[in-house]
Amino acid sequence: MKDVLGIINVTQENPNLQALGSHRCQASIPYAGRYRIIDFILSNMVQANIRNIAVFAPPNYRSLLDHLGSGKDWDLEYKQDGLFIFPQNALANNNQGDISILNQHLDYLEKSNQTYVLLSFGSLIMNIDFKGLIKHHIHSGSDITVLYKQKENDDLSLSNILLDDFQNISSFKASGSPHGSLDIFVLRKDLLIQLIKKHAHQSVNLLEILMESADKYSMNAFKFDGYVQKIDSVASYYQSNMQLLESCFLAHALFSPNEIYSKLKDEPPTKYGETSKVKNVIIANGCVIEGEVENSILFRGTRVEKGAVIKNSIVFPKSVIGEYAQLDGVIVDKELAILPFERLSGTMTSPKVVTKHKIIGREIG
Amino acid sequence: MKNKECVAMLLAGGQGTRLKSLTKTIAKPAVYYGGKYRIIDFPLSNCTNSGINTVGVLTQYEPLILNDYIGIGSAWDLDRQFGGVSVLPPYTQSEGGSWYSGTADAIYRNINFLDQYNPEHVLILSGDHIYKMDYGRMLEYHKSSEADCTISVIEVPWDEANRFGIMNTNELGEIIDFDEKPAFPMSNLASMGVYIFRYDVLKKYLIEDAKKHTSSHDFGKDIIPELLQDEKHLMSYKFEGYWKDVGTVESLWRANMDLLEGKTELDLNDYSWQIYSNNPNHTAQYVAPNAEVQGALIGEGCRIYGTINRSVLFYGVHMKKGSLIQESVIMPNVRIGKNVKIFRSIIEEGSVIEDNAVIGNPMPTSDITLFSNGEYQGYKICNYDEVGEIS
Repeated sequence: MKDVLGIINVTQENPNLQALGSHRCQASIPYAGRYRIIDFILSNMVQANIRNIAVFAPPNYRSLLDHLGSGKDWDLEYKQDGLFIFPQNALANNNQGDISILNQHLDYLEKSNQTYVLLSFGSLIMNIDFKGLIKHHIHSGSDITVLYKQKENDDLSLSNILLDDFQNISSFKASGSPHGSLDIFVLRKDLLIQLIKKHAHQSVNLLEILMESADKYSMNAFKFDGYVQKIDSVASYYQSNMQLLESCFLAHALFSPNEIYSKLKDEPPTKYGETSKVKNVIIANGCVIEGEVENSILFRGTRVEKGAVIKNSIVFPKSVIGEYAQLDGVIVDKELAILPFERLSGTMTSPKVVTKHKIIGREIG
Repeated sequence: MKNKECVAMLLAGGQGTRLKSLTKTIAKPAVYYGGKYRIIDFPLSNCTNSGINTVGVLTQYEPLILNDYIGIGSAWDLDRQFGGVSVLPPYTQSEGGSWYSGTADAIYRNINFLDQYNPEHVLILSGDHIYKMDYGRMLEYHKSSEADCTISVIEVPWDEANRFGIMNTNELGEIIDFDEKPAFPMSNLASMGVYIFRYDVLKKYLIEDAKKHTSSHDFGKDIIPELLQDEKHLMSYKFEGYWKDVGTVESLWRANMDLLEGKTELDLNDYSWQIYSNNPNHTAQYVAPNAEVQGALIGEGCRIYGTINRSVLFYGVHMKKGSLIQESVIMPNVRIGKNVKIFRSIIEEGSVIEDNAVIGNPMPTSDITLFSNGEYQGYKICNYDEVGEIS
């Protein structure tokens, strides 16, 4: 698959996720104890032997840049090709759409020597062998191939696509359709360049343009049967993390067939004190546990002091949960201190989010 | 000509026969320690944290894993434009070649390596010890006392002093005599095997020593006594803190258990002096609803369904229901079946423990059991968790 260029377009931020990402872009929201959301699509691309990958990032790209670095931990450090990050200008008007930034970096697309482009949008958690999708595209001879899944009843997060008997897409706005687009596309690079050039001076998003192309170009659909989660609200983020704690789910759905890479860190192994009590928990390296943790996910370098009780919660990296603090149904942002004896709680449908700009008990900044 | 103030030479060729099967296919510095590390991570991390970025690693015994592990040194920030890490195995020259016959011989045969950096001082290290030490401070002490050689020493209990190389010093800290494993020690200051030499002095003595057919070409036995005889200026540098020679199965086990103490002397979570290592990519660890974990150090990618008490588990260990691990060290990627009991043992990398097995002896005075039935896997080959039902 050296003939395929990967594009991860995460410029469009979802306002529903603001609470988790006011200071980080949504692609770099922590997930499953040691990953960031982007790791899944990025690793899937790498595992499909795609070695020229561009990430189009929103204006608050710092956390993403810090996470991805040179791309070395995803094995994307090459002399030719590799990982390219194109951040959107903070001054750009967000209503302009992302076509302008794509147009700005058209030379990158033109200079790359791949024939096809695998294009992904948004915050998908999935593990897929992209080789099948790409092969299907090449053999089908259609202009554009779209990845889709059979929708579950209440799933409103995916746009409905209308399919004929030959898997051809005629519309992206078919209400009541059982098929949902995953917004992952394969097309020829020259067609993509042509589309960008054509709309270069309009305030539109590439995703909209592609969706409206169903009547102009031949569009074929390719079905994905595996687990996929579109993170589009704090509640769906929380629930999909909690789902990881169901027995063996972690290993089965999320970590096969592909190994998922993430930024590697020199954290020591996690230390459990004599007073620790841990049940049904996903824990990353570098934590020190002296208290009680149940049905929760702890990211790297978390400290749980004596007497603290954490239930049904997610704690982002390097936070400290003070002595006898009690958390239930809470998402604690990175590098926070929860003071001793603090009590916080949320519910399954409305978890309480404690963010980075506020240290519990006293306001800062 | 560019030069380096101080170049480190790390002796990593030791076999460590007292570690039994642990060193059957790997050199002692590559032995696992602390749930994630290999012994050599400690001196290499100390070098990089001390600002010494040029390190020659002298290998001889079973160098494959060590070479592979060190690579170009990026794990320790030792992939530098000028300097960095170089692995130095024995080699042949036009007049023939042979193995390194002693620690001094190993350095002597790499004088050309040292010459290319033209250092003022050479730091000699051994790859056998677990400790955190700022070599930069020792170098400052060495320079300010204008010593020809400075030897790092640590106070050991008097009743154990006969197991070490003992330095007898005067009130100024100058070394006046050296006794290798004395029956009646005059001091309890043991050499840590960490030396800083002025390079011109070291080079002269190495060249002279190489000519002597009677010499065993060893720093402790030949070079240091020769310097003392010539009344060179030898200083002792007192180190305080955690320092362990993990030369035996028992001491390796004990050094691992030391990490489980509430406030340990060797703090792996101290980010101001971090120990670096190769970081294999694993998922986060999972502790199941019926598991119990108390007093433990557990690496990434572990799946824990049983009970763990005072133990160290390396990455990728899977443990099924009903099993118990007590006061043991479980090395990477071990698979533990149902209702297994493991007491006071070291289980080697990649071992597979069948259901209902009992390994080791819970009696506090019993010997440490070393168990191995796994093929050596290498950290690159089996670094990812198996996917599947394991409960």
